[in-house]
Amino acid sequence: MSMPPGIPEGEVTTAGRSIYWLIPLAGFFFVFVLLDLIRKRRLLETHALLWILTFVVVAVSPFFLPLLNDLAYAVGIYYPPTLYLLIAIFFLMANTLRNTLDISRMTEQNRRLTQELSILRNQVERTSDDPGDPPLP
Amino acid sequence: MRILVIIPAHNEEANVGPVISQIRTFLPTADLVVVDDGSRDDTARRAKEAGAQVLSLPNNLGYGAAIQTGFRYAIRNGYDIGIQMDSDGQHDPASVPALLAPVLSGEVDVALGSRFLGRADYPIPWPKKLGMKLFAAIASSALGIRITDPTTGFQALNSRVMRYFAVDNYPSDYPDADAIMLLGFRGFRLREVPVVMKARMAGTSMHTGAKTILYVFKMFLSILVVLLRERILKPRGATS
Repeated sequence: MSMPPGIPEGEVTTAGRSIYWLIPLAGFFFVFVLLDLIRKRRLLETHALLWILTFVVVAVSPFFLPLLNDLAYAVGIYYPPTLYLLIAIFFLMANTLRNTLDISRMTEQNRRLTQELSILRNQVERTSDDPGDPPLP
Repeated sequence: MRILVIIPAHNEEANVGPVISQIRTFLPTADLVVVDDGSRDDTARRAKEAGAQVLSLPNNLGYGAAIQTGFRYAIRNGYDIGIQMDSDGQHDPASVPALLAPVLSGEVDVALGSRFLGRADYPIPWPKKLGMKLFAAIASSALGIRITDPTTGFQALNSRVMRYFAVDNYPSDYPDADAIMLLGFRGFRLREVPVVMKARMAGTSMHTGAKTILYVFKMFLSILVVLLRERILKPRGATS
């Protein structure tokens, strides 16, 4: 297996080397899982986009390690993996925020539907002779 | 003038019937609608038996959303004035004529029932009282009118206000100083009217324990958002 660009052969151990193909493998595996979930209609495309982007970034990140290292040193992070984790946390937070936005929107929609339902139910009960079933608890 | 009394109720089977009959003695011609906010008891049936229209929300949406349901019902059915009252018997129906008068005469768009201008026949715990005073001070200074009881759920509103709140502008949990400030900023005319509030008839209140602390923080956030929307970030020249 060839090394990603910029990684000198002599400087990494066998264990260190495996991470360069394990991470992309894991990343693309999750992209595959996401695509499969979309295919089965269990995940909407719009909701999957940010997740796909997250895992693609994870998958390709080992190929940019030298760049990430340089960037880490440039901004004053002297233990480069910290920057890697920071980026991961950023993407996770973005996904969580996205979820909260969706929940807020759905709460609003749920409220409106519930309100409309109660008003329409009242209207039906008033205009028909059938008193209808009592509302279930 | 068609008047609708809007009564939000959550698990108030013991109180809702007597409250409805009490209101009837003071407002014999008004229609009553009870918004049953996902009760697990017999609230809806008791309200129907007492002669009120009932809007049964299948889920518990919260106090504000229940009131908003009443506003939507009022607008859809062509009511001119809405009176919101709690279903636990705290709001003395004898105060309704005084509350209604300035809205009926067209002097104001909203009359807010104040237990501090009037009378509160029950002890208010000091943390709650402190919170009320704080938010009253904020609302008063923001609007330039005296607000003493920002948490009041005893109000009379004309159809313009109900229409405004029926759409999208109503806080869904506990409308409070934020809703009052929103109305003031939007140019609606407000006035507090002295009312009497009594101890609730039966059961426990919705503001208890740790929820009070959460409530204070939530209210600060809501007020900040109202200020951001209506004052700080409002585009120049925007009309209310």
